[in-house]
Amino acid sequence: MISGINPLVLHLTNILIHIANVVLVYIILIHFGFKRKISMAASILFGIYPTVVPSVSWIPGRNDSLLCLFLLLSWFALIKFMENIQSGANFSISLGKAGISFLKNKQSFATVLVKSLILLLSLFFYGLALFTKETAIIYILFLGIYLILYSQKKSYIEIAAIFWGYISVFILYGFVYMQVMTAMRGANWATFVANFFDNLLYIIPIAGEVVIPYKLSFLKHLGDADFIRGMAVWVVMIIFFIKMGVRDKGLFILGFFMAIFSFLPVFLFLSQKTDNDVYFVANRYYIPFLGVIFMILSTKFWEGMNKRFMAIAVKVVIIIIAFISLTGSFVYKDPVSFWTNEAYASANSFRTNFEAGVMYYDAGRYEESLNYFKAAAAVSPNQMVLFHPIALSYLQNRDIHTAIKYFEQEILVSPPDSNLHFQIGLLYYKIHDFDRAKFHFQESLLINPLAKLSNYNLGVIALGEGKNEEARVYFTKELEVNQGYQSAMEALRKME
Amino acid sequence: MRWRDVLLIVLIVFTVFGASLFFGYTNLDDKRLIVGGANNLKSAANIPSFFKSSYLDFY
Repeated sequence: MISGINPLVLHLTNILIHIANVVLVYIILIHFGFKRKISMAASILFGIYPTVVPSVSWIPGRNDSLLCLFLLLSWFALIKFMENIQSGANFSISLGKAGISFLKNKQSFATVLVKSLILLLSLFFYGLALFTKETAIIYILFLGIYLILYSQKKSYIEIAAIFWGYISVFILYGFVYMQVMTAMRGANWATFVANFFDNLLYIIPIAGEVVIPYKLSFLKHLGDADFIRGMAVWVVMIIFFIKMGVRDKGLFILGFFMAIFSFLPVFLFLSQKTDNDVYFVANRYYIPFLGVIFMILSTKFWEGMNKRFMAIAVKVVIIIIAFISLTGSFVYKDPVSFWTNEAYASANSFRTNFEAGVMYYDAGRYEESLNYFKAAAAVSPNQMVLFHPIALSYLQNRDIHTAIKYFEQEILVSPPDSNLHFQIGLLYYKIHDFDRAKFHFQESLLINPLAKLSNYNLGVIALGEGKNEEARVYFTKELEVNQGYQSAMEALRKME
Repeated sequence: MRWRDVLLIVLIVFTVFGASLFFGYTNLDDKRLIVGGANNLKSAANIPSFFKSSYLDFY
């Protein structure tokens, strides 16, 4: 790693990956025959829309933007390859037929080589996409659909010859994957089908989050899924496409594939019954959102619009969206703002509330941390991991009595813990409840006879009760397990 | 395609996301993967080990 653990370089690479994607979208749209201004507006919209913020401003979010980069590079190389062979005299310059074509058509070897290299580049980038994220397995179909829809001189044998290259890369990836991964070996078709139908319903709220990216989260609980927003988006989109009419069916199909089928691997491999909190992962919306843009561009929406009005409207929309995304990106500034947003977006999740509590505690904001721990407890009251941080938060808020109450609850559910008993003993000592303090120091020693300071504190309590002999025994025992402990030696000296 | 268009696109996107450069870690995956794995990430010789070890306990 070049940058070490300095996040600046990591954030910079995230931004550069995203910029590369936006520029590629612009170039691809130009190749699809869109006017400069429309291509610019669409690519800028993709570049600054709040849906893409998690993939850019959150460092690990790059797995989707990087996947998108390799997919777009592979697709663009394929577009260039198809352009080249379609403008040439013969269609059959697929990789397998390059040599024959060279001999038959007397093309220069350099021409054949360059055309083959473009296809090789496309295959190479598809391979990189596969090794970036497993979701890429689905995009072999995307490239196949493009090949079928946009080959002007259709010959299925020739298309198959080109497609075979992608299948080869896919098989190679599958071989490496099966050598390395073991977890998926147990999966079978029945599980995939069961998972698919189990998850199908969630495409409704997911679509809502992709198009109206409000309250995005990485650990959203199913209870926080917004079906109403999702339904509204589906209805509006369907009416929009019916009303506007599709101008470029190929682009619509490709966009639809990106928007919907990008979720297919997740829907097949995960089950809501066993993998809660895995559906609404905000960085996964990156490629589907690009698909939505392609779908909108494929309509007749742009035709017949007043150009001056459009120019002003687009500029205003871009400024508003840029402002929303810029302010929204500050969610990823630090752990406190990040987890505050997670807890807000997914209030029904134990983890988001608990982690928010931990982050506030680490930041020294104990009142807020307590509120989040309480919210986590409201979601899942029997989580034993909660008692300790709640107790600590109360302690930091100088409420010793309530802190003790939570520590006592922790004692009931956690395995025997000498140190915990010692800490509770100290707290009871602080509030002058010496009987309970004694009990916990003794418990601490029962669990670990070599525990330091428990004997000393028992000695101090005994001394306060006027039991000098008992105190002497405790101080002597303390020195046995804690040799040279000054306070114990001092106490013994005073007693002589 | 015009280079001026590309430049404008880059400028707008960078204006929106430039502030992210000064953001830190969020403690969701990033710290564990990057800070926690800093020793492994130091050398390219460790790359094969990435494919043989558990990733965020998923595999």
